[in-house]
Amino acid sequence: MNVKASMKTRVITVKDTDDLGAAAKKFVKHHVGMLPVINAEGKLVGVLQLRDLLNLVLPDFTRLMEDFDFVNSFGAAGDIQPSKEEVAKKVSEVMEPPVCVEDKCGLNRAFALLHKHNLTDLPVVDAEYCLVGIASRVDVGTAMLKAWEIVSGDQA
Amino acid sequence: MTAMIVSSVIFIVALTLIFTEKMNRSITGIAGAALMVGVGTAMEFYSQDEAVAAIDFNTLGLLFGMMILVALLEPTGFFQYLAVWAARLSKGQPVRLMVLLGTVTTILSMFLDNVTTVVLIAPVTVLISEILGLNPVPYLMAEALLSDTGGVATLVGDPPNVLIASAAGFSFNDFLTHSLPIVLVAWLAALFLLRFLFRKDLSEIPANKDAVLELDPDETLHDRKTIKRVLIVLGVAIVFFFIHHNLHIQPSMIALSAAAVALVWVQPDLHETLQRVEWNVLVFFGALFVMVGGLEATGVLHQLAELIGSAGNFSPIIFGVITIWVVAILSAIVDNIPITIALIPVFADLERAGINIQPLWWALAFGAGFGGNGTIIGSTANVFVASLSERTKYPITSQLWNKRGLPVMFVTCLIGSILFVLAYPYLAR
Repeated sequence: MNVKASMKTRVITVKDTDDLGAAAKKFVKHHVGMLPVINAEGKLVGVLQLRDLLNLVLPDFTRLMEDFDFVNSFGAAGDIQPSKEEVAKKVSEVMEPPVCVEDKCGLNRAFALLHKHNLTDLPVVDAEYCLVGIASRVDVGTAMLKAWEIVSGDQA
Repeated sequence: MTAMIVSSVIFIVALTLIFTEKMNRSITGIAGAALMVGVGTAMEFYSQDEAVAAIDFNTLGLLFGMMILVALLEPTGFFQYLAVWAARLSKGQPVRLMVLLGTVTTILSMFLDNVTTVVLIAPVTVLISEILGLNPVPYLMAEALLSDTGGVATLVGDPPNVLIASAAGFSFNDFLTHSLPIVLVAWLAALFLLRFLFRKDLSEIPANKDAVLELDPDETLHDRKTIKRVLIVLGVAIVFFFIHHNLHIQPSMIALSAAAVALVWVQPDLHETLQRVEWNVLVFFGALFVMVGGLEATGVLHQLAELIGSAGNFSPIIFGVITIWVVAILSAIVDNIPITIALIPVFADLERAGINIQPLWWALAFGAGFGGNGTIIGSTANVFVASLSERTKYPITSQLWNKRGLPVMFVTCLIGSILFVLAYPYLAR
């Protein structure tokens, strides 16, 4: 079985030329954790993770320290709003390079990539690099479990 | 004559690469050392045996031993504990916070490697400033500047001191009786100056004072057993440092033995411990010894010493003051380690010419230590806090460093010079 069978084909995307404010609204409206970024030709050029936006308001020390479990209260750093300049940035400035697979990719490989890159969602593209769907960790993982004899046997 | 020119060119090109940051300083060092030995062997001015003999294993051993102790202490949360404790004690008042964090960093770096100290304290400083709602720059700069200044006080506080002690035969106590009192005055002056230079930032009222009181230092500690063991070993080592001269053992022997005892007692994952050792510093030292050995072999340094000796009849006091300032300026723009390593043979040569160089060693230590305050690249601690700050909302630029650090260098050198002159009869003994 390949990833095409398990993916969702209705995908919420964001354009590389959109600003971060518009992207933030999309995240909220559709309640998603990742937005594939496409250019004017519909080709996948990157992904925007929830964390890329939230990094703007996380205190600097969370990136500098290995361990901050002992910080019981973030105090003045607990309630930061992003600056106007930051939300006006283009999506292309903060997006991450895409980890994606072609639609004919096997489930095993798709899941291994999700695991390796610590992702929750994997964009799926066709041979021309146009976005055709998105497969979440749960989509791929449950599709794999379905193939297990113990699972399919129970159903029979 | 050709040999002198060739060896000088190799050394000067290497220094230029280090100064302009065209190449990593340790890579430059290895390449320069290999070239010096290669060319030296081919032109018969410097042999492989001489190159090995030029390496001061006392210095390397002392640095390595102390690095192992710090490496064992690093992952335990001990440094974070002290920073958090200082923050609580400050009750979130900016001036108090600067004094306490600066003092903790200085005391640690008098006995431990000051780069590691700053590397571990600086991120906690960003944390403390952020939860208080303050700009971290004054605290970060104070930590780097005060620990650089304070490190001059002890034999193990600052790499140039290790070099000078090894060359001049100074004991740990010599530093406590000769350097510490002068450094203490310079350090206090630096603190008051920083208080003045950052008066605007330090008058900020923290947005959330109580946040630091909610920090619990105890929760920062991961491994109390290791902390206890390493601190006991370190304490015993310091006691031995006090009496090493009477026992006729080298400080390097104490540091390496302490490292051995601590390793046996703690039995850490050695791979992880060795990864925390700053190999590039050790390599840089080794390479510079080999390079400077080449300069010595061709007689360049002897010529330089003769030039200095014949350059008018300076009174030794004036000569010491000039040494402080020249070394300070060179240390601010190049790096105090190559400068110190290159000047040591020159001074030794002056001694052979009958000049009393005892006070000059102290002048060298003050210049090399205080000079590092002047620029953003003047010391490794400066470089570290500046690059750390670039990952925060308040980057430290080199212009900012020139405005705040350069006055600190000037004042510490000035106080060093005045006290050098006043204490000259004492330092000359």
